[in-house]
Amino acid sequence: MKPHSGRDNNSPRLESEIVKLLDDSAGNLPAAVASRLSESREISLDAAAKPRQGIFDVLDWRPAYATAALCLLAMLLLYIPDRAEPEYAELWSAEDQYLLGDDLSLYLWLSDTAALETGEEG
Amino acid sequence: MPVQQSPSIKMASTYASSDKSQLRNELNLFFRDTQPRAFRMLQLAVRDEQLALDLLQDAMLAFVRSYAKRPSAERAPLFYRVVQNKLRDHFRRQQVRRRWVSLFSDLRSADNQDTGYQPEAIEPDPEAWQQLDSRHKLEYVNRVLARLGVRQQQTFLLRAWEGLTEAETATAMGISVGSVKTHYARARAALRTALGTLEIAEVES
Repeated sequence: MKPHSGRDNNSPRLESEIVKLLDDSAGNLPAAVASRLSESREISLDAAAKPRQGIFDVLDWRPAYATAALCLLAMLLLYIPDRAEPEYAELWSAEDQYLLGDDLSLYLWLSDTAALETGEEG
Repeated sequence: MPVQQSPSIKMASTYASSDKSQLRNELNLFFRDTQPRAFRMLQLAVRDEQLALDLLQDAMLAFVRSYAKRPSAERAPLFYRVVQNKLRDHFRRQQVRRRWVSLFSDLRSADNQDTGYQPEAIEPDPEAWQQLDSRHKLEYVNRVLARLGVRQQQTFLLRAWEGLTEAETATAMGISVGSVKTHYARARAALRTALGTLEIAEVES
């Protein structure tokens, strides 16, 4: 037993008396409380037996990989044809067509025309 | 065709299962020993049997998840540290809840003096001590202990009842050794006043 505790034979009488009473009370718990304590003990011991699971153990990554692959595929299907197929460009605005159609000279001509109309030089 | 395990794998799994059962037995013994005292300590602090049981279960689960494999000598202070943390968390939550409740109740009532922890208004009678039987003595002691502040009460119980050293009590309560000495001395002084008919010797340091 640890030194200076109430259980020590040299400890003060008050503490010994209190400790004795408390020991008796802890040893004579009501049946309902004792049963609940036993249940808590079992739960805790079962938890101790199980390996601790982190977030990476809990999550199943296969659905996440599948979803990511599908999203990537969808993006490829929706995005790349817009750039690759010329007919999709018809849906765009005239300025976008000039920019993306590599018709730089026409774009520059339009820009110069606009500059002349507003009176800017150079 | 059934797959044959190699002898080394079999041996390793046997050792692992025996380690697990040994750990389970050790923890079972440890909990059987400490659980009733920890329950009484929590009950004295929160004054609610069901709440004390809930807090104890939380503490036990937290303990086995973090400290189950610690050496047996370290278990008691660590377990009581977890218990004290749960207790502190409970009082903090209670304080926050009370703040909100008092904020709203202030709007309706001028009675905002409730600080929560109100010791029971009892006046222990030291003269009656000698005439009490053990059941009534226990009730008397419980009431006197319940009148102490939670820190004084828990320090006293950990030092005097659980038999932790000052350093272990400080670890368990998350306070300094000096604070442990102060709380313990004050608790003893309060108990001495309340149970004054008993001869009390000073603690040998």
